[in-house]
Amino acid sequence: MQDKILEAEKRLKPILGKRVSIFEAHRMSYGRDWSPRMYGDDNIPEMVAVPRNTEECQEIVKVAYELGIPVIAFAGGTGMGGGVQAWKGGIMVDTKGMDQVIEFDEKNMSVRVGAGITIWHLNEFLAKHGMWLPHQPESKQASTVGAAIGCDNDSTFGIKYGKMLECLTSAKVVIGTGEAIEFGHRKASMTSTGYKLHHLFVGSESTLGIVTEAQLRVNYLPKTRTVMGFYVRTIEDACFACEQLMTSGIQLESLHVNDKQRLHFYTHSYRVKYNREPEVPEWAEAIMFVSVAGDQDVVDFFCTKIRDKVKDIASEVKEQEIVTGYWASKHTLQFEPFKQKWPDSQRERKFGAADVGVPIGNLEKMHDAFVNLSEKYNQKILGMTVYNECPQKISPSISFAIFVDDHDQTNMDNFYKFVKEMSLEAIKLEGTMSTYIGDGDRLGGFNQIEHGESFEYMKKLKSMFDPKNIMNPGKKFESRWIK
Amino acid sequence: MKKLEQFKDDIYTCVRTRCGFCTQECPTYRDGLIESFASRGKMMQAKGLLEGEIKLSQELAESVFFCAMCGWCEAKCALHNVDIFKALRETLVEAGFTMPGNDLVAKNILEKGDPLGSGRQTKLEGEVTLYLGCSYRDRPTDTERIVKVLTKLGIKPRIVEETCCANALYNTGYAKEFEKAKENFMKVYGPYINDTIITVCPSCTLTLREYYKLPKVVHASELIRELLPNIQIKKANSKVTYHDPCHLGRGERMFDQPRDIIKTLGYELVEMRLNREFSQCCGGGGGLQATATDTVKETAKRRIREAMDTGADYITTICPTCESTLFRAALACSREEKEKGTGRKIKSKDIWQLLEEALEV
Repeated sequence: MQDKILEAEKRLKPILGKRVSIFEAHRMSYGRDWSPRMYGDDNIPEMVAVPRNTEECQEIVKVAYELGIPVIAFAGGTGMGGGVQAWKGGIMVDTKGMDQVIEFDEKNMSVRVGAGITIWHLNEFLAKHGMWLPHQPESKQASTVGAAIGCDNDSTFGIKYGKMLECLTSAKVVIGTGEAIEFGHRKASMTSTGYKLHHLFVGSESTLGIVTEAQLRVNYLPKTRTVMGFYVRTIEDACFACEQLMTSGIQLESLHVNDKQRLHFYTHSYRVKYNREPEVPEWAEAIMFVSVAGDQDVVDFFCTKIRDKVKDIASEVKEQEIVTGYWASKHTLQFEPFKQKWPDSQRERKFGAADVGVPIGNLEKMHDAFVNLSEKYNQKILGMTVYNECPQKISPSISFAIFVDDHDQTNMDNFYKFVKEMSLEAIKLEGTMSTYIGDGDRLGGFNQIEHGESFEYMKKLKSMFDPKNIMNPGKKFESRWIK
Repeated sequence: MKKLEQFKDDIYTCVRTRCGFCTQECPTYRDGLIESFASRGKMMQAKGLLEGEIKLSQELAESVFFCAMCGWCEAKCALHNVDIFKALRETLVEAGFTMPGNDLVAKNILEKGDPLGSGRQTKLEGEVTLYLGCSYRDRPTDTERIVKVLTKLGIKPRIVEETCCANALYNTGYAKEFEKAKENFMKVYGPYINDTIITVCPSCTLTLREYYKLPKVVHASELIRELLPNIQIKKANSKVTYHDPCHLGRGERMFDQPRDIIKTLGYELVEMRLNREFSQCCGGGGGLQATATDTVKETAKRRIREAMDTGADYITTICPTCESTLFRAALACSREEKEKGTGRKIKSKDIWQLLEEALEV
């Protein structure tokens, strides 16, 4: 492989200059993402290349195709599933160099961007025009549009706007042969012609190709927003409250349910400010956060209606700081300078999660399984958050999070056993193994249990776009951790 | 790796986290576009060194020294990012992996008491000790202006023989050389170290206060803010945006003093997208002026474009390094915008110029 890498570098240097490197010092920086792994377990790629546009990306993939070198697309690097771990070696293509706003079409509420623009920067640009991309993962300061497409990550506002799939109308993709192909329906929000091939790339983890440009449907920013929190006695009551709110006709912008343990994680800014734990009623087993947005009178009306609908089963969080703290964590990211919840919370152990999805009626059973399996595998519980991420539907996308000890091999092995059993439990409860982390290097191959016969068709699709299996090998169809 | 060992907890916390919040506005990352130029990339390098995954090398030095040490990443984080970069630099320098530009600066500081090697001195009889610092010592017009402004405010500055505070050595990993320069400073400036010392350069202020622990160091902006309201001034009526120097803002947490001065002078103060704790570096820090001049230019131009976005007539600052990088960038950007026909332009004036104009009544 070393000869091939040297040859690839020789060919790419005249095109990319300093943006291609085989220096150990540069490659080391791409050794890991946010996925749980032992502290010393890095996957260092053999080369780093940073294209600034589709054409440069094509050149990289063409060279890799010819020489048979794996290609991994890297973006925010915040994935929790190992989607960008170069455990088969190869060229790490850092897509963040493709960060341009290519065309902004306000009249048609559409923007075309390079896939490397961060969601944060895109929204800073759009805000000048009173607009936003409502796909909003917590990682948006680092996560790019391309990453959101590749990982199909979560969005705070999913219950109103859906996720990236609902925003993406077209994408340019460099497939495994180096060809650049446009997939989608231009700026139209939908189509009933042909196959919706651009949907294939959402959650594809760059195993079919590298998305270099995206055409996105954007929205006007709401004029005002109100966020409310409610303590609820049980998770079952929280589910009931969610259904009540949805059936009432209130247009919710976000709807999240946390178990009691998880609240601790989201009240970092509260603790920074007051140096004490927030007071949570003894009886409360779940905390629900709801936001509504729009014109002030509409928001006011919805707020009154929400309070009325849940008054018999929930008690409103009066300490506004708890709500503000949660919202800082989920959306505004306005952390105290020099302090931030992510590193502050992971000084000793690492965040890890099983991100299964189950139908609402099975949520409590899934939570029970979480508690039991955490205990069985000696995983320290961080807690549960239920996001709803399909427009206008109660659609649990769940983070069952724990803290893993990344200095203890047994604990780490047990984490993946925990994920495995949680995934099997989700299938048993008529759900899915993953709703926002993706397969990464953990569920590939094992996910055949979920997909059955269709798994073979996935393989066929893969070989059509990537005949030499160079695009992010070791993902989707193979796992490092779960067999 | 002793120096890195003491930051092991922070390094592993970052490696465990990878949130990437430190990346997007990092000035050198924005220029180089490879992760190793941003904080989380450097944390991986530190981990790699601790575990023997990578070796100390010249290529590593080139990557590690490609950093403005501006602390933007640290403001976004909960870790001691800049201290870790410093430890990385010290480890490299100790092993003999240095940048030629930084070597020259170190030599000049040790041999001539001045990073540029000019050895220029300015002396002035007066009552209160004013430490000019190397940058202003090399700019007689600026020095004259500072003295004039302070005098009009009722301060009689005394300028004595100076030697470099060696902030550049501290920041670029020359630990032993820094200690020597510190000794030299204490020898040359010894008779005055217990006096009230007025500083004008943010880096000198940081060094004298935090690293030398001198007891009565006052940055000029603190004094001027107090004195200005009592003086008759010619009020201005244009729009100004203020650039926070990294060492004064994030370093000394002096965000309001310069802003209050600007407002007292009558200017309408408008903020750039990145300001106060999250202000963007001008590019001139961390030794980049000696090792990556193109990056300094590009970084300063990015800052000027942000200033242009505010619609301000002037960008102002209170640091000799920021002032000179921004001044050149403002000229370059205004010329580029003229060629494009956008009508966007901005001028750079430091706070001393604004004060001089206001005090000419």
